[in-house]
Amino acid sequence: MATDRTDVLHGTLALMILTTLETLGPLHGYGIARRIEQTSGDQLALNQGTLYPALLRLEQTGWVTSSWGASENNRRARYYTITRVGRKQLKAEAASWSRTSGIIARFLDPSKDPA
Amino acid sequence: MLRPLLSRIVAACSGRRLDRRIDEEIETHLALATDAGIRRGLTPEAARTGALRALGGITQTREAHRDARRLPFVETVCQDVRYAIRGFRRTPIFTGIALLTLMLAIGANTAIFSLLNALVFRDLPIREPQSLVQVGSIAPGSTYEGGLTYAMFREFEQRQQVFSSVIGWLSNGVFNIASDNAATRGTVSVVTGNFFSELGVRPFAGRLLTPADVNMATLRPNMVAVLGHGFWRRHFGGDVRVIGQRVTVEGTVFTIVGIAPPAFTGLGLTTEADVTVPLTAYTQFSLSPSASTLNRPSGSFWVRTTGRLKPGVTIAQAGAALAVMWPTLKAANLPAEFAGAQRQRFLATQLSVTSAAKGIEPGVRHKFEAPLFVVFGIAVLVVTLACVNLASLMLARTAVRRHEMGIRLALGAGRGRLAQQLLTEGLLLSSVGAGCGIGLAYWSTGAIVRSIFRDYLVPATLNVRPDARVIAFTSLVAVAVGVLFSLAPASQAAAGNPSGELRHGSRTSSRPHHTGQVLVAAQVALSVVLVMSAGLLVRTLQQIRAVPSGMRADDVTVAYPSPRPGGYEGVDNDSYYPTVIGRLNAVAGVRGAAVSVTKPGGGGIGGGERVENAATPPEAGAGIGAVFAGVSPGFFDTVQIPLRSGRDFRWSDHSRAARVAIVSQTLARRLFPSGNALGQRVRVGVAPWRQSLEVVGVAADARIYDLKDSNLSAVYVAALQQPDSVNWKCFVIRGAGVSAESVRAAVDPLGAERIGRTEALTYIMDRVLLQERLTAMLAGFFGGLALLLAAIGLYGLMSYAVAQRRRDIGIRLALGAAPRRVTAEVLRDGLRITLTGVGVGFAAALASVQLVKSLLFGVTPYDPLTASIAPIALVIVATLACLLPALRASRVDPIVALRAD
Repeated sequence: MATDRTDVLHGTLALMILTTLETLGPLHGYGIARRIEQTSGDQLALNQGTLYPALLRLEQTGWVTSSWGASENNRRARYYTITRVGRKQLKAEAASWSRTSGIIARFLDPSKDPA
Repeated sequence: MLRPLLSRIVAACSGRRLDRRIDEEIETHLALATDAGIRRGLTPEAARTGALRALGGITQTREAHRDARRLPFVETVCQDVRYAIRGFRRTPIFTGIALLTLMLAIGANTAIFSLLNALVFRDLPIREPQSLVQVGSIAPGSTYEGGLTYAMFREFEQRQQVFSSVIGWLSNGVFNIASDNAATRGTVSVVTGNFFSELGVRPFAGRLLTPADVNMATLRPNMVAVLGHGFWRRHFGGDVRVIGQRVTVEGTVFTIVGIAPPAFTGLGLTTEADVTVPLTAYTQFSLSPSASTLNRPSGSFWVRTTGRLKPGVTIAQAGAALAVMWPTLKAANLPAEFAGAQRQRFLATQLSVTSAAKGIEPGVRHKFEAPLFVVFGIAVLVVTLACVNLASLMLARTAVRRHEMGIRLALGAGRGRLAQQLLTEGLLLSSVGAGCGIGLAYWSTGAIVRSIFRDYLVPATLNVRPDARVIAFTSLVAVAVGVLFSLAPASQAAAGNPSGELRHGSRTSSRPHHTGQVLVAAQVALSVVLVMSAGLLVRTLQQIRAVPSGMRADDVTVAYPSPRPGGYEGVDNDSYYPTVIGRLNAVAGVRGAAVSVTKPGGGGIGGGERVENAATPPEAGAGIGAVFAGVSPGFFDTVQIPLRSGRDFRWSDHSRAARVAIVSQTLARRLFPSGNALGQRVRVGVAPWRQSLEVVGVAADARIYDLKDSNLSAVYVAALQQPDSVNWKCFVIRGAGVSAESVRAAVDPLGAERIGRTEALTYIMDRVLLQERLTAMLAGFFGGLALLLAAIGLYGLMSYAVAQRRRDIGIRLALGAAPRRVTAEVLRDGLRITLTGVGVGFAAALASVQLVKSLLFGVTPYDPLTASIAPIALVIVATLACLLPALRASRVDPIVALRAD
C-alpha cells in the first residue's frame, strides 16, 4: 500500500507539527503523528520516530513547550504545546510556504499563469 | 540563536535525564499505537509489530533524538584538543619547554598572589569582618599601635555611639602553661565576654567565654579557659574529656570549659591562642598591670579595642566621632602622678581608627607587604615575558605548519576554524601549565611561610591554601596567557593564503620574519628590566651584609631563660644577676657573659628613647632619638664593643645605687659637642627613674639591633636599674663551642628559671635579614628565569631562521661563500635584535626601578654596577643563544640543502 506514499519533505515536518499543535492544542507525540498521517490522507510515509528529534529541536528553539500529562487511556504521556513565539513563527513560515508552493505550482501548470 | 545553544549545553549536561525521557515517550507511543491497532481488530502481537514498524525502530529513534541534542561546538573542541595533543606529542621539546615556562611563570604568580591574598587581600574568616574597626593609640614619635588603658576602655565602651558593640582583647602573650600532663610555653589571649559571640565563633567542644565569665564591672572573673584547637590536639591528644580539668597559666588555675574551632586565629592571621581566658583575669598571671590599679588611670595601653560598626555608620564617620571624644577621654584618664614630659607624652597620644576586616597582624604585614608587592610586580613581568616567549615559539611552529594549514584551508576549513585550532592549542598548553603551576605554588608558598615562621616561639603559620580568589586569579592568568600567546599565530593563520602556502611550501627564503623579531626584541627588553630589578635587590642584600655591626658576633651564643612557676617571686636581681653571670663565666670555654634586656641582632625591636641633656628643661618630643638598651656589666666585652672612655657598668650600679648610663660616641658628640660627656647628666625618655642619669662611659658606635638603622646614637642603661628587666632578659655568652647543656647546667640549678633555646648570634643576625634574603632570592630566581626565557626565544628564532634559509645558505656556500661569513651574518642578525631589545629595555628599566626603590638599601636605583652588568649579561646570553644556530648555518651541506626540496 505504501509504494506511492511521499517522503516528508525536508524542513516541512516542523511546519506540520506547529500547524497540528496550533489547530488541536496540546497533544502527545503519537497524537501528532496520527494527525499528520490523517491530514495527509495517509499519503505521507511518516517515519513516526523522526517526530521526536524534531519536537526536541522545536522545544530547544522555544517554539513549543512540553510537560507530562495523562493520555486518553490514562497513560503517562508528554504533551507538547505551541508557544507564542511558535505561533508567530508558524504564521511567517506558512506564508512563505504558500508563496513557494504557489510559485512551484505555476511552474508545474503553466496554464494557470496569469501572464 | 543563543537559546538553542544554551539548551543544548544544558541537554549535554543532562543527557541521562533526556535518555529516560525519550525512552518513556517511545513506550507511551507504542502503547497508544498498539491500543489503536487492537481497536481496529488486530491481535495484540500484530498491533505491536505494526506500531514498531510505523515508529521506525526504537534504537533508531533514540539515536536520532540523541543527535538532535548534540553540541557541535563541544565536539569540534574535543576534536581540536585531540589534534593538538597529537601535534604536541610530535614536538616534545617545544611542548616541554612551553609547559616548563608556563608552569614556572604561572606558578610563580600564583605563589606570590597566594601570599598576598593571605596577608593583604583576604578578609578574616569570621562573621561580617567588613564592619569591624580597630581603635588604637599611637604614642608621639612612635609608629607602634597600642590599645587603650583598661579604665579608658571601660569609659570608651559606655560613651561611644558608633559601634553596636566593643570587643576588648590582648592576644598571644607567651606564658608558662601547665596541665596535669605537661608544662610548656604557649600563647595566652585575654578577651571580653562578647569576643567569641561577636566574631560568630562556635565552640568545637564545650562552650566559649561569656560576659558573665569576664565580669568587667566587679573585676571578679570566673577562672575558666578555652583551649585552642591545635594546642588541645598537641597536648591533650584531642580528648574532649579535658573539659572540666585544670590548666594553669603562670601558676594561676583555670578550669577548661571548651575548645575553640580549628585554625581560629582570633583577629590576627598567624597564631592560634593556646589558652583564652577572661580579660579581667589578666592581672592574675601577668606582671603588669596589677590588679589593684586596673580600674584606675594608668599609662598602660594594653587593651586592644575592636568595634563593630552600627548599621549605616561608615568607618570615616566613626573616626570623626571618636576623634571628638578622644581628648576628653585622655584627660579623664590621665594618671595623677604623671608630670612634666610624661604627662605631655600621655596627652599627645594619638587616636588611630582603621578597618580590622583583614586582621590585625602589623608585624608580619609591615615586614612583608611591600616586598611581596614588588616581587608580585616582577612575577607579572615574568609571566608577560613568558607570554611573549611562547608567542614567538608558537609563531615559529605555525610557520613550520604552514603547509599543513594550507592543505586544511584548501580542503575547505574555515579560517576561523584554523584560528580556533591554534587558540585551543594555546589554551590547552596554558591550562596544563597552570595546573602544574598551582602545584608548584602550593609547595613553594608552604616553604616560604615555613621559613618566615620558623623561629617563632609558638606555632604560627599563614593559611595559604588556594581559595576561590586564588583559583580565579590563576584561571584568569592561564586564559589570558593562552589567548595572548596564540593571538599572533592565530591571526597569521586566519590571514593565510592557501594557494600561496601550498605553492611555496618550505622553499621560501627569508630573514627571520618581522613579527618574530619584534617579539624576541620585546623579550630581551623585558629581561633587561627584570635582571636589573633583581640585580638591585641582590645588591641590597650584599650591601646590608657588608654593614659593620660594630660587634663581633662569631662565637657568641644567646640563651633565653623562662621562669619556673613563681620562680621570679622574691628574687633579688641585685644579687641574682651577679650570681648567674658568675656561674656562666665559670663554664669551660666561656670568655665572657652578660645579661641583655633585649636580644641583640634581633631587628628593630629594641625600640628607641629620646635622650637629652638633663640640664635643659623637659619638653615632649625634644632630644635626640637613640637606640635604647639595658645591659649588665660585661656586655660590651662579650660582644666586643670597645669602650672609648670611662668605664663599663659594675654590679655596684644596682637598683638602689645612683643611676648611670653609657652613651655611644655619636650620641656623646651630638649631646655634648663642646667636650667630654663623662660626668654629664642625661634624661632618657619619660620614665621618672631615668630623668637624670650620669654618663659613666662612652662606647664605640655599634648597630646592636638593626643593621639597616642609620642612627648610630645609642644609650645603654644598667640592667639592674631597669625595673621588670628580669622578665625579658637573655644571656649573651662568648666562647667557642659553648653548648646549650653547659648553659643549662649553670643556670637551671639556681631554681628561678630554665634555659629554653640557645641561638648563635650570627644566626640571629642572619634571620633578621630574612625579608631581604627572600626578596633577593625570589627576584634572583625571576631574573635568571628571564635570562633563560630570552635565550630560548632568541635560540628558537635564529634556529628557525637558519632552517628556513638552508637552501639560500646552501647555494651561497656552493658558490664559494666562506662559512665564517655565514656564521657572522647569523650572529649579526641575532645581535641586532638583542641590542634593539637591550636599548628599549634599558630605558624601561631606568623608569621602572623606581618601583623597587623602597626596598633598596645602600644602592641607588641607578646603581652603576647593576646598570652595566644587566645589559652585558643579556648580550652574552644572547650571543651564546645565537651561536649554535649560527654554527649550524655554516655547516649546511650545499648538496643536502639543495636536494631537500
